[in-house]
Amino acid sequence: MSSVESLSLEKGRGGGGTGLERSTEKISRLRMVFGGAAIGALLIAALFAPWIAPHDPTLDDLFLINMPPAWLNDDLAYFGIENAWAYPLGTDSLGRDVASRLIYGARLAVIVGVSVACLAALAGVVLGALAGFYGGWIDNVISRIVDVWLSFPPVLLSIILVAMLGTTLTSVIIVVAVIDWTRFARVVRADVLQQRSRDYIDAARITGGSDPSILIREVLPNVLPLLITLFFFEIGIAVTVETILSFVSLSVSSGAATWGDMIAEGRRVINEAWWVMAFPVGALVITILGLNAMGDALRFYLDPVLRK
Amino acid sequence: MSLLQVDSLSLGLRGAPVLRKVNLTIEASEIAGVVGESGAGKSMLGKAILGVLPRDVTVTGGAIRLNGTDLLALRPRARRAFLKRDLALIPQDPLSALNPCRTISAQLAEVLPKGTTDAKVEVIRWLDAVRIPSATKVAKSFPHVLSGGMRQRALIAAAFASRPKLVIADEPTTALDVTVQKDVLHLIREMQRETGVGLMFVTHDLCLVAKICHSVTVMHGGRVIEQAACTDLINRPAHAYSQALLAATPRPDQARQGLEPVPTALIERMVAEAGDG
Amino acid sequence: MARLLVTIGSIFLTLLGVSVVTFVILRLVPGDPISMMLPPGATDEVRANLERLYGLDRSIPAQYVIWLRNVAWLDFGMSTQFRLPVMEIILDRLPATLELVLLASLIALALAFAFSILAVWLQVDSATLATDGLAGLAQAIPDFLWALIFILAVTLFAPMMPISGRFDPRTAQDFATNFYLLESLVTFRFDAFAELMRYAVLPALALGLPLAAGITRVLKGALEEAMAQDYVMLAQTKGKSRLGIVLGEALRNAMIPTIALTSVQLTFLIGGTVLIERQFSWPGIGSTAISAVINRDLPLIQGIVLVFALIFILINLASNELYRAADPRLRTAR
Repeated sequence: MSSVESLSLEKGRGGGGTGLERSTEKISRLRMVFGGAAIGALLIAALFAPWIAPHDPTLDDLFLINMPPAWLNDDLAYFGIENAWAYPLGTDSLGRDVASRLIYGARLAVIVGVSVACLAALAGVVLGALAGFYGGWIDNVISRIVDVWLSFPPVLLSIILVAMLGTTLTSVIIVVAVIDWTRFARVVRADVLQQRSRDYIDAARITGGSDPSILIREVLPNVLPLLITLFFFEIGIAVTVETILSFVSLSVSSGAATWGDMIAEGRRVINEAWWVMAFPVGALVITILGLNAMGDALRFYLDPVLRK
Repeated sequence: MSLLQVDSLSLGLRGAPVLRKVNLTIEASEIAGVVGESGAGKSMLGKAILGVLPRDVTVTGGAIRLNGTDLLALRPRARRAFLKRDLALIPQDPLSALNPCRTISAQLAEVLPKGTTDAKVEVIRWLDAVRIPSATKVAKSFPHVLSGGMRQRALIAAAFASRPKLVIADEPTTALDVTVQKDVLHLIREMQRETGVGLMFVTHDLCLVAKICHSVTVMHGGRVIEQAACTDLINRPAHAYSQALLAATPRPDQARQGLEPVPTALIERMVAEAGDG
Repeated sequence: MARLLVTIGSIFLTLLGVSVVTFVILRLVPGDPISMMLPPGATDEVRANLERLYGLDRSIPAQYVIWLRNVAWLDFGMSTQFRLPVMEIILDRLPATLELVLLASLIALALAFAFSILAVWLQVDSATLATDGLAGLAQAIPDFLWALIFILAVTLFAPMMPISGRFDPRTAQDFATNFYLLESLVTFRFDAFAELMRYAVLPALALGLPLAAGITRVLKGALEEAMAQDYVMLAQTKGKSRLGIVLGEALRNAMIPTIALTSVQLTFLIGGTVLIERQFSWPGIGSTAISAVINRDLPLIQGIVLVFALIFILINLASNELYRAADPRLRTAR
């Protein structure tokens, strides 16, 4: 086959020419910007909640029940307030400020998301690397555990486990990490297995590297781009699962300002006050999309194979 | 009127020329060889005639006339009808040219000309014609049970079964085992003789050309270097490149002579000449 | 025959394993079902009687053996929450879940095939990018959130659309089975079917969207790969149209990896019903499972987890068979 043909065929396989390649590059940049903005906003809300939030998120006010967002609020006299923008996103069925709860909820989301992702990544990477690098019975035991884990519906499992461990912040974090470590373990195991069979690992062994040092110096850098992507995904998953647990009234004792609690409450009063649910749902969607976009963009920039 | 007449055909890959003003004529019942090294554009010429160019390769000028009709001027639907009726391809790689999920008979039956009464019988007749053993069983099976040589035979049957006027064989023996190359080559020549179609034989191997072709077109860098009757080219190559190409080809009648690679200086000169064209 | 025996054996072993694990986990859950059943101020004697009735006064291994012996006779015990046999509750609610899952899978398959085939057929960058973008969006947002988004959208823009339950209790229909959708279809009661669909379409869509995205990604990739093969070029020279080639040549080959992945995704979908049913008050075993956990209804949880595991296994088996049927190379190897 002539070189011209093979060249053009390869391009054709991707779906068509440089146009698409250029747009992949552009899309990655867009993802980076969107992800950065979403994550930045989330972090700012989480870090500076006490200074940004206009009200105490747990303070109820029976005179301000189900007040609509400021721009829809045309009955100030009824609620007895002068400036609708004092409660920009309205209030819930207990008269608590939706905006303040949203901001404090971001704080909890960040705490849960980051701790879960760290714990799950740590457990998954260590166990996956052990299984992949040493093989044999270690691999057998770990792989079998992963299989059993995967045959339970994760949502049902997390609900059962939280019921067992109690509905504190720590137990929610532990439960989600315990359920999701398999995600990291599988990826790391597969990748380590693949890398181990390549020549450069043998080369490192011949030049006298110890096993842990080979793992850390030679194998992990190759898995890192994928791990970072997974890490960002995992934060999003953890935030969602926390919301789900709140939704089935099993998470951090109700009344606390979490997005899940707001959504559960909003679902009950959706016909009277849709905004109670709409804003946390929006915040959750943007957070998840932002984290996904960031993960994908980082993988594109970090992975030399994808960048080519 | 010639069967196929390619008139100063030019192709471009995103602005870069792939073929430059190529002329080629094939008569009915003629075997026309097209030779050249990798990148000469010989396969692209075949693909252009068949209308299966890769997406980013475009026709930038010229005409392809089949029995006088310019294929490039036809609307896609009319051109497809022409393809189905008058043209066929014997592909290079038999391993990937048969759909692994469809039976041999399904892939053969669909090329039979309109009005074929008993497709099953006809398919088996064609498989017999290309000397595939136990044709009835093979017809019902999927490609993966056949060897490369058997698959190429099935593909040759498919090419001739549509009763085309022109068959384009694109390096039909290159991907095959050396032991079956000769059989397949003989089979192609035999089928051509029986059906009397025009055959365009694309190859990098002058030896094969010498064996079966009536005329030869030598290509390099997307242009035609020399066109001649086969015996003339083998015995009295006019162009320096043809001479060099010939010198680089092992010949059974001149056993154990040293082979000469095509001189780099010649290629450089030709590229320089091409540059101002 | 031997293969069938091995398959059945492995099903039983897996179910046994799942039942042991859930049994142990459940017995470690704090908070006991008996105190939830007792009226305030009940005497210790009443409590002891109830514990004996539900077998909770024995050791965990002994409880397990008793439970297993009963299960062999298809007796999964009594639900402490509903005071009905677990089997009866499951049989009553499983059809609703199965119909929801079936509808969600059909929606997912229809969307995925339509978008993938369209993108590969048109072969223009904009269609490819649009498909990738939509699939990315549908997959990034979990089914739980899609459900919330639909509920919000309905409340704000289409208040006539139902977001709770399986049918309108005021116009209760009489059905011989609990498969309302299927039954109304086979008995040609199309107006009843349309009414039922109004209730089913949103939960099914929420459940099916992430699945549709997953299938689209695999199917479109596999189609693109198939379209780059030589047999496609040969088909072109046979005068086939591009759409004809996509459907007639590439699709069969692209089905093979698609089936393998879809089955994995389908098992996620089973897990997803737990929440979707709760969100749309769909009376299936998913929403029953959550209320069983909250009320510490151990026999019911045990039974439902077993049903989930069984469905999991059956999906995997079915997909293995489909995979064999789709790939001729495996078919003859058997």
